[in-house]
Amino acid sequence: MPIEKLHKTKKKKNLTVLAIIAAWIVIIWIVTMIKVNHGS
Amino acid sequence: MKEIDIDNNNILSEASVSDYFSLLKPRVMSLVVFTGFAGLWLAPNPLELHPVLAIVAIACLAINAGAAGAINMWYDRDIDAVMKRTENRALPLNKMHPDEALTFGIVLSVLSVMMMGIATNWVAAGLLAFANFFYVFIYTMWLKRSTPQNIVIGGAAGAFPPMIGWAAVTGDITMASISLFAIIFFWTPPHFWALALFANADYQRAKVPMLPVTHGEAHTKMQMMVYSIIMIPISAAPYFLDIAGKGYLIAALILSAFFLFTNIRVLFDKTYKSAKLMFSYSVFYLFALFLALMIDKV
Repeated sequence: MPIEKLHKTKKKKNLTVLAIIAAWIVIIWIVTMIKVNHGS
Repeated sequence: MKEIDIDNNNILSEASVSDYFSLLKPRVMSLVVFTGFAGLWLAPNPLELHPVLAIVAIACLAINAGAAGAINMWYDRDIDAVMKRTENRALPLNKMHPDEALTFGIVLSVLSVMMMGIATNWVAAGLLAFANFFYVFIYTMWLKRSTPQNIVIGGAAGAFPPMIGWAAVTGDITMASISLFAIIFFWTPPHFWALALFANADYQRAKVPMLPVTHGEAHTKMQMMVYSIIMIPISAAPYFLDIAGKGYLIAALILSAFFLFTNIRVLFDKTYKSAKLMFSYSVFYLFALFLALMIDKV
């Protein structure tokens, strides 16, 4: 897919959103591990 | 201000991270975090909650409060544009498309409630969702523009954080957690009416029916006195409910007496100096009450 001007304009915002989604997944994993190990 | 292109209603927004962060009303978030943590700390056996889960719970509380603030800013962008106090917010300045602010708020609201439920329990998550619903639909979309009692009823949304923090530990609601709710609930009207007194012109311009606009300053000052007097027994309630000791009781009575004193000054002051002092003190007052509760528990 050719890189349009829109891609470049939105790149920073899209990468930020990706990072937030990844962080959320990691936090859910951490929370799950804690609850499994502590039996709550 | 950065240029914004409009292309078939798709604004090529160049809003920065700080613009999005400003939507979350960071100063309100700090109060929410503090009172939410206080509720968590004051609950029985708070250390039973894993520290990471406690941090996640407080983060969910903060993010959810911020998300509700973002939706509030989206809905009230017309009012914000005409008020000096709020005209420099991101939406009145067209720093982003309104739909982006709304989406931002909704997504954060849903994710924070889900995370609260996963990390702690669904009572805390339910309270969090209800607080968000109350602030957005009951206060922002209904009460704020329709009744001078907007801040009295709508202020309940800001009173939920300590109950949520408590529920995150215990999974329940008790008279003790309700007493923490009551402290903020009865504190809210005099706090915001003190602001409304010296921001009266702003609210008049925006046609927001704050009490000074609809019933005048004299009536507002008397109403503030009623709540300030009520705050004395309300602030003492944690002692009588056995979640605080005599040290807290003494501190609460002194702080509340001074709160009443600042209100009495407002009653007789024809300028707005006393109202500004009362507003500033009211912020300190709430922080000091909850700090006293936490210190007393130690």
